[in-house]
Parts: sequence; C-alpha cells; structure tokens
Amino acid sequence: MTQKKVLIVDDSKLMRIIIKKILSADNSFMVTAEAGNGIEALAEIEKDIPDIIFLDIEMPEMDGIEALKEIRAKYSTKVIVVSSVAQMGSSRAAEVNQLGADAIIEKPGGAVDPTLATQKGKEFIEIARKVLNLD
Amino acid sequence: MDDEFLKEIWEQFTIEVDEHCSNNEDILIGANSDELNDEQINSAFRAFHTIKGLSRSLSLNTLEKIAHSAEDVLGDVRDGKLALDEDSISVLLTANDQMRIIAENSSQKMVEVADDPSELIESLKNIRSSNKKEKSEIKTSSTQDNQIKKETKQIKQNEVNEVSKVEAGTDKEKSISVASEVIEKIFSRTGNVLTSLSDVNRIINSKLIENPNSDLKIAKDLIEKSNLQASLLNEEVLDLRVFPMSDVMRRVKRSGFEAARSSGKKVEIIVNGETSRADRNVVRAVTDPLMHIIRNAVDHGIEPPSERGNKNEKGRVEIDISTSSSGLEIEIKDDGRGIDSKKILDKAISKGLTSKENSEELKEEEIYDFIFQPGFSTAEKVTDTSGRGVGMDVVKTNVVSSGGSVFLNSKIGEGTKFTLVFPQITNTENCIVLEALNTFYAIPSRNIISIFRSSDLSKKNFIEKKKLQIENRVYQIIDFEEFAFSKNEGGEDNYLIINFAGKGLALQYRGKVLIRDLVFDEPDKFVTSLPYISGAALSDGNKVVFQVDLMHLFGQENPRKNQNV
Repeated sequence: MTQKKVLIVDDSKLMRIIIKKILSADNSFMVTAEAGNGIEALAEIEKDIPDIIFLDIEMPEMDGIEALKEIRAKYSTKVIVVSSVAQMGSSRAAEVNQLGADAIIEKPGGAVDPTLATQKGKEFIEIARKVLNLD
Repeated sequence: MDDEFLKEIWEQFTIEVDEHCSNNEDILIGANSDELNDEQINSAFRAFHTIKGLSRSLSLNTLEKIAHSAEDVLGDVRDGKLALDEDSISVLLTANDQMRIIAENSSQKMVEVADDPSELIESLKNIRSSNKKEKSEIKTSSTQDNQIKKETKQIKQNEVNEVSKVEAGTDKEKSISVASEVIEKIFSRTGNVLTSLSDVNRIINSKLIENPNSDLKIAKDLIEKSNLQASLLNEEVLDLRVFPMSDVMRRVKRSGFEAARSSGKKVEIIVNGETSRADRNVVRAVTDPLMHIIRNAVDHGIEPPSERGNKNEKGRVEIDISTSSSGLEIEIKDDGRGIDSKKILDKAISKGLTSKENSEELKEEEIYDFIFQPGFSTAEKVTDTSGRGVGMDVVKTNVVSSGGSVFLNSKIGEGTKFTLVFPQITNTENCIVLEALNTFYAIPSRNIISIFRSSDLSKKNFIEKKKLQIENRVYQIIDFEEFAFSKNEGGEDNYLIINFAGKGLALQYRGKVLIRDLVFDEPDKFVTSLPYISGAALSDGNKVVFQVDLMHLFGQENPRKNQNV
C-alpha cells in the first residue's frame, strides 16, 4: 500500500506537531510537507502535490479561505479544513463547504490528555480515511 | 503519549503564546483604536483567536476563556461596533500579561496553573457592553499593578532560563536552541585561544629580535594564520551573543505607557531602531535604566496638558537606538519642561557635592552629571512609578557596570535628553597588569586615564595626606597594598589615575606595569569571596591574573557578585 502524502497548513507549529502526532498513529499517512500560511501552502503544493491537505482558516498573509479558493482552482487534492467549527459559525462553515472542502474537522482539543487525545485522534483519522476512500 | 512529545508540545506552546502576546503588546501599547489600522486590529484578533485554539488543544480552560473574551473585544472592534480607549486597552494588556503568565506557569507543571479569571473576564465583558467603563477602572488598575509585578518576576525568571536562538539561514525550522551558558563558554574559550596565540606571538617576536634568522619565522607565519582564523571564529561567536532590543523596548514602552496612564498625561512614545541588536549582557543591563528613565521622563519631564503652553498638548518621548562598529547608542529625549541646571547646581552645593568657588568652572554637562550622584533627586513629589527611592545613581551604576556611560542634556522648556553609550563587546579586555609577590592584578586600560611616576609629580600635587591633585581634579590615593596585601620593595612609586562611573582615584603602586589582552571568566565562589576581586584570567602561559573589582574599589556594591554566591 502506498502511503498518502499529507500537507499540514497551520500558522501554529504546535498545531502542526499535534496533527502530525495524530496521523503518525496510522501508517497510511505520511506528512511530507508543512506550511505556516496560504502562500507557503501553495508553494509546497507546487513542489509536490499531496494527496490530502489539512488546512487551518485563521492565518496571516493568506488565510485558509483564500488558499482553499486557489487550491480548488488548480488541484483536485483532498482538502480537510481544520477549524474551531463551533466558533466558526454555520455561515462560515457553509462557505467553506461551498468552496469545495471535502470535510471540516474541529481542531484537536485536549491533545495532552491521553484518553481525550486517543478519542479525538481516532475521529481525526476516521474522517481523513473516509475522505480518501481508504476503507 | 511519550514524555519527549509532551515536553516538545509544552515548550512550543509557551513559545507561541509568548510570540502572540508580544505581537499584541506591540500593537496595543500606547494606541487607541482610531490609531489602529485594519491590519493591526486583525492581527491582534488573530493572536487572541490562536491562543484560544492552542489552549483548547492543551485543555487550558482558564486561558481559553480569557483569550476568548479578549478575542470577542477585538472582534467587536474589527466589526466597527466598538472603539477602544486607553482604559480598555489597559484591560486588554492585563489580559495579555495574564495569558502569558498562565502559559509559562502551566508549561512548567504541564497542567494548567491559573488564578481565578472572573474579575478579568468581567472587565473584558464590560469593555464590550459600554464604551465608557468608569465603574471597572479602579479595579483593573489595581489588578494591573499586581500584573506588572508578576510580569517583572516572570521576566527575571526567563532571564535565568534564557536560551539563545541561533538562526541558521532564514529557515526557522532549521534553527536550534543553545543554552546561553554554552555560548558563554565558547565565547570565553575562543578568547583564551586568542590570548594564547598572542602570548606565543609575543614570545616568538622577542626571540626573533635576538636572532632574526632563526627557523622561528615559519612558526611566526603559522601563528599569524591561526590568529586570523581565530579572529574570524571570534567574530562569529560574538554574533551568537547578540540579541535584538525589541523585547526590552516593548517593556520600556509599556512602562512609559503605564506611567502616562497613572499620571493622567497624554504622551506619545516613539521607538526607532528597536531591531538593533546588542550583546545579551548589555540588553540585560540596559532594561532597568531605560524603564527608569522613561518613567521619569513621563512623570517629571512631560508637563500636565494644561502646563504645556505653546507645545502640543500631547507630550512626546522618543527613543532612538543605533549601532555602529564602536558600539550601541541609545538616546531618550522628551519634549517636557527640561531640567534647570541652576537648580541642580544649587542643590549640589547645598549637599556639599561641590563648592561655590569650584562651581564657576563647571561645564553644563558636569553640572548635569550631579543628577547621577547617590541620593540626588530634584523631584518635588514622589510618585508611584518613578520616585521609589531608586535614583538616577542606580541608572548610572547599572550602565557603567556593563561598560557603558550615560550623559544628560537639557534645555528649559524644551526637554531633556539622555544618551547611553555601550562599547562593542569583546571577549578580550585590554588591561594594565600589576604584580606583587608573583600575584597579578588587572585593571581595564579603558579605566586608566594616565600613569604618573613620583618623579613626574611635585610636592604641590600632594595637597594633603592621601590626596593627589592633578590639574583641577583631586584624587583620593589608594595604596595598592590595601588589596594586594603585599608590597614591592625598592623602585619608584607610580600613580595610576583610574576613572570609573565618572569618579576618579589614584592608585599608588610600586613595580612593573604590563599590558595584556585578557579574558575574564565569570567569577567563581573563591573569587567572589575576595573583597577587591571580581574575576580571574589566565595569561602568559598559566599565570592567574585577578581582575580588580572597580566597583568595590570605588566603594560600591557589585551586584554581579551576589548572584554567584
């Protein structure tokens, strides 16, 4: 089985570390690139098109919404928007959906709590697998 | 969930919260909302939003709540529903401090450590519910004082654990953290290599003078090549000790902002060149003096709006930082009432610091220099922020103990300007070395104005016992024996005129005077127990040279000494 190439886009390195850790539990994923904002993300995609992108919304320089528009205009890569859905509001969520996000995942909370982390991580991986039709 | 991973997460968390908080401080300090542009408001909003998200990830509920409330405030500002005044900015800054503290403390325990945030959250909510929030003002300013105290503590703590970030190229991911003590060691080792090379070079040169055709010429070439490499290495090492001034300037600005707030004055604080970099010891040494100077400028320099006459109602304090090959220069100027040199002089005379007769020959800058004398203060009333018994003498002591100097200039009605100058830091110090009973003592050459032999002086110079007059200055004579506990017999007395922190004295010494470039190590316990010694170095092979503690010699407490005991 070939591993799926993953790009993580988040201005917080901490968030990237956490997402990477979560994904490391599943052999199907391999994080091949990281980016701190939309512009960096587009540059990474240009270099090597990933199979799946985890995309944050609130970022400096170019935010996730703008990045998503650009990505969708050029690539068919799967995009999972990682955001605080609860705070994002349904209208924003609808906008993200309309722009062609394949899924919206809530930011992994409670990452340092082992039980919570396992549970959240599981959800995270489940959605990612589903988007990529891995099961 | 392995420990290594947890450690990494918490460390990264503190770094990021700190970055976002610093960003917020930069934006919020001294601004009201009509001065903030959209990008700044967005950036502050995003910072609070991100901290909220990060806190959620680490289950820091209190931190999340505070960040959430602050984010809401910025959200309203962004949507044009709310204007920020000074008080609301102050509450936001308090929230910002609190977030930083919680992140730092929690990170150490790897679980949330936080005080009850309800008062703070209430204050944040009040901003949103009303533009005018007189009712919460008193409360917030008292919590704020606590905050500042806590913050100061926090920063001291940080200094202890301080690490230098070494940037490799421009790629942030490739940078590594190195403990500052490691850099300190490399720094002093490199210096030792340089001094050994110069020792060898000196020996070879003297041998070559005796015998110009010897094979030593090859050795000399090799030494010169090694010397060049070592000098290049040294420059790179020096670069590792260098820090940007921006963090310090943020605190200084903040301090001025708080002083303006509590004194009810309108003051614009401008900082130019805060990206300048300086040696970490200088950055550390300059923080307290700058905070003191800016508080003074706001409290005593800038007039209340009603007394500013033709000048802009809003006072102005401008700080310019610049670096050159000779070192770092910081200028702090205010456009306040200025300092009357006549008043200074009267007070100096009344305090017996000078006499009426002598005073006529004093230059303006010499008169202003009295301000830096211990116990000298012309402030009519003591204020909360700048009159806490810490005077300008402490400013001077701090600056001088890290090798700098400070000057003051003022014009009545126009303002006051402080200039702080720090020489380029080097790890080798050119010193005059004195000897007694095979023990060596070094005094930095830059502190020695001149050396007189007894035969250069006449009886007229010795005005009274233990007093030496040269031109118009009188120097207290201190016998070398006093700290060396031994004396060389025979030969002629020398008088070394030593200048330190604007004061002078004459050191009476009999014996050889050598000049050496030395590297002083941080003092260890043995050294700190010796009253007149502040460090030690190796020279000419393995000879130990003691560094004379000039602060002690001039009757001042050396703050560095207590740290190591």
